[in-house]
Amino acid sequence: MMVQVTLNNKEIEVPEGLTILEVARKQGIDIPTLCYHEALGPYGVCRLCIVEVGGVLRKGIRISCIQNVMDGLVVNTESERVLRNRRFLFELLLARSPDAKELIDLAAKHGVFESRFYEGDSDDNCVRCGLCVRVCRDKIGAFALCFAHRGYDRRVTTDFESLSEYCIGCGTCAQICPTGAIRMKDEGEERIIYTKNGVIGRFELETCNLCGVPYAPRKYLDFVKRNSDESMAVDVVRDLCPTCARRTGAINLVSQMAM
Amino acid sequence: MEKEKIEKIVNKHRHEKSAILAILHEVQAEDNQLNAESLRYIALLLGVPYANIYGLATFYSAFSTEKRGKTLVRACDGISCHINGSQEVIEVLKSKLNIELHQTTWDEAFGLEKVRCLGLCSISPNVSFNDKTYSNLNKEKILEILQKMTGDSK
Repeated sequence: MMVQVTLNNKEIEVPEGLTILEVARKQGIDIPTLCYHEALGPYGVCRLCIVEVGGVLRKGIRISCIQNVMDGLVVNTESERVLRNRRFLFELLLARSPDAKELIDLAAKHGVFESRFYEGDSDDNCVRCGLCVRVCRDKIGAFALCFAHRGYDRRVTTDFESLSEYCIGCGTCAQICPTGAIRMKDEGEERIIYTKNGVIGRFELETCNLCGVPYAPRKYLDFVKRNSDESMAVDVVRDLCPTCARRTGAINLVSQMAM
Repeated sequence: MEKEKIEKIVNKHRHEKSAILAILHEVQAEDNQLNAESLRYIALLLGVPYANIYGLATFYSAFSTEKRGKTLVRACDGISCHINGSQEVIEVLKSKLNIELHQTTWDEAFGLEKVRCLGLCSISPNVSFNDKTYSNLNKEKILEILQKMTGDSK
């Protein structure tokens, strides 16, 4: 079913069941988010995606990543009230993570350059968006990360803040982190996933069968093998790095075509 | 805690994941702590990831991952208790038990914690020793109670 929505004074017809954020992004409207990711669905903690609603809903500020569109909804994504509230949110986030480059850039884009709540340097630069915990749990299924403690002490950590037995070294958490609080580096034959407070995972890298370059931890390769069907897993089984896998794949394809 | 004891508790709850809080409560009560060893063993028995059980155990203040005193002294320092002189009571507790807040005595008999409210504002200041709560306290009264308690535990 389609519903009529007024988005920034423009009447549009959109399918039911979408969130305001999804609709707005399809229309090319830029709404900043930190905790939202297409693969993971809404979570609603960073609050940056606020919009002003009206019409069938009582006039007020809503979180657009959680609020679904409905018939007769009026949405304004850049009213003065939205921008004022969003600047305030940026100040709060900056107070928590003052050295996170990605956050500083995003805030600057929205006209916030310093926070009046600044209380000194952050011990982790984490904004508690939960992307790493959710992706590790819901998408990878490794369950290496969790939120521990409560309130002001809440933080992302592994069990007992130690090297995690569950971590497979895939690095998805480092890749998805919007503030760079979790990082990953490959040094020689070792991969380290770490935060400012300690190391989450430390892995020896397997070397490529063809070129001999270290490229991925054994645990991660086993995980990929377990979770892909045979045709997909061929390159993993042969223990080839992505470059060599691509090259041999291309050579195979060309030789098949020549025949 | 010994593995057999943990197994007994988990068996009692028929290995139900939903009973995880009850299990943690019982282990905490018996051992006065939920250390890494116990938590990991419970997680294994229930089939729960370590990270989940660690998040759970650190979230609730009823649980502690470090060894707590056998008798947990919770001194209330909420608004009512505070204006009725809880600071004095807490100072007496600190000096008599010879520990700071959130510490445990050397013989692991007492642990001292400051809490926000015990829900007994009208008869403040309050201090609870495990499940028993003492009210309308002052310097002298808390000394008396403490002498009785330490006498009992020796």
